[in-house]
Amino acid sequence: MLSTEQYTVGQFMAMQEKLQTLSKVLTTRAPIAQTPKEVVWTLNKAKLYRYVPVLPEEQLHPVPFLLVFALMNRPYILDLRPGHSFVEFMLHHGYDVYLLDWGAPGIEDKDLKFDDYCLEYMPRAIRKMKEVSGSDEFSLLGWCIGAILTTIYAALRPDDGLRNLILLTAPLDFSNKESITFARWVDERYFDLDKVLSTFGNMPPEMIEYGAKALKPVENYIGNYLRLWDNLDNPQVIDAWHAMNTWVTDNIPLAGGAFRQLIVDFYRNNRLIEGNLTIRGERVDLSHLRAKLLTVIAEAEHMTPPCQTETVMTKVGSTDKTVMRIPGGHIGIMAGSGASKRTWPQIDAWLSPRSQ
Amino acid sequence: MSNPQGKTDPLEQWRELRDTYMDIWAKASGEAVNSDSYAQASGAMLEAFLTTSSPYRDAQKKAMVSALEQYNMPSRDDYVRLAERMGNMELLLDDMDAKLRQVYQLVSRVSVQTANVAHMTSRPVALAAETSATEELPAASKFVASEPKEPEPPAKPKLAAPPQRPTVAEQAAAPQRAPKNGQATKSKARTKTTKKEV
Repeated sequence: MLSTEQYTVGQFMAMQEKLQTLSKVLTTRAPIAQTPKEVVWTLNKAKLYRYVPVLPEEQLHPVPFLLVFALMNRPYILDLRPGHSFVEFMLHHGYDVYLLDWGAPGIEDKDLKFDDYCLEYMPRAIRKMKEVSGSDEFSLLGWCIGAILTTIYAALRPDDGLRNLILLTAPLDFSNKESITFARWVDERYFDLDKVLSTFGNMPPEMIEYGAKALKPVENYIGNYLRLWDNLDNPQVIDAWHAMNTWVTDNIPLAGGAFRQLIVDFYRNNRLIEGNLTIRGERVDLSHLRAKLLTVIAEAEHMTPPCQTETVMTKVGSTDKTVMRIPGGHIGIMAGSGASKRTWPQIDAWLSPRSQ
Repeated sequence: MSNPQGKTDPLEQWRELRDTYMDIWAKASGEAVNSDSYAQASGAMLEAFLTTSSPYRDAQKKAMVSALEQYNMPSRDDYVRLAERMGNMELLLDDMDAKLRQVYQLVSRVSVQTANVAHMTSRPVALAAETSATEELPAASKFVASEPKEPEPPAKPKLAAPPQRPTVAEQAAAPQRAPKNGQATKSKARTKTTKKEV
């Protein structure tokens, strides 16, 4: 049995170690996005990456798989850290994986809109992916705002070779404003969009980060750090927390034009679901979306409540459509500790037979 | 958790209490932020910030533009204009790249086919011999040249027909010469290999 003196010294030593870990985790960047990849296409700040396949060519699915993430966050959440990466998982399951990184818009990109992302960037990136992979068909995964972009693209270009579409926590229906906290905040009575954009040009990342965290202020500003403190002697939790914190604090601006469209066309007027959205003069008709569709809904979602995603299933023209409900939050379902057991295998199980 | 005296760790109880309190607090704050009054308050704060900061921001911008002009230096607006032009050029280049690639693929296909036709017409005798030798080849292999999977560089058309080689049937029918040391074994081995390939 330890003496009181030994116990006290041990406690001090443990405390010192904890403080060192805390300092390291809060002041350094975790090694993230480590899966080997190559840039195959660039346009302005956007880049198309191809991840180096890990299986021999004959074992790969013939249909390539393109990942599209949101505009205001870094896409490496899909390849967070070695051993816990969706990209890595899909590579090991025989997919030819591509990632479209939108990059950080500068002030010169303040007029970029969804029109540009959907009809200039995406078709070009897809054209390149088809050329590199040698396949005329492809699968597409859109997450968060990326899901809006991929949905618009799929509805406007149904004959472009899109075979499978996966939407993750897709904010598409904005009719139920009571359940969508963001919709309240950006209501035209309270939020002067023109003034914000004339002042900043692009939507500053700090404001976006504040908006995301303020949805759950206690959890994000206090609970998150308490969880870290409680687990300072658990390297697995620390590694996961460190990687996630690196991503959460690495935000990028949102192009002013796209932000205006997001607020006016989607949050305020719900134009996509109501069938009034026009992108470069073309009306976005969801019934033209004919690709095989998988919609993944996070059950504990606070940023994009399930009601924002469910209605799209009745609007699309796809005959093969599936809804998958996963316990977890907006990011947690794909990057949380349970993602590798709960979400990724289910996505693979749905996509694999449709990628032959 | 217990200390050396075997007593329960008081911190554990404190943590439980803290977590309970946090849950209640989180629920209340979640409801508070999802309310019109919070939206109104945050909108008012943002409005106040933008209103008070804009005069300073405008003045700073004007001063910077005039200073850069005096030093004959490009301003941010100049860079933005330049970046926009470069963006447009990138779009054009991307389209040109795609079109060039299409043209290259088409030219490659056509040149392979042309070379193939030239090759066939310039060697009718050799062609007949090769055809008889490869009669047993699978059908797909015969049409590889006319439907290439990947573009290949065009083959140079041959001016004169190469010396005729005997076919497998001819080799078998030909009278056996007196072998030199080891030659018979080699010939047999070659015939065997050819059959195997077929």
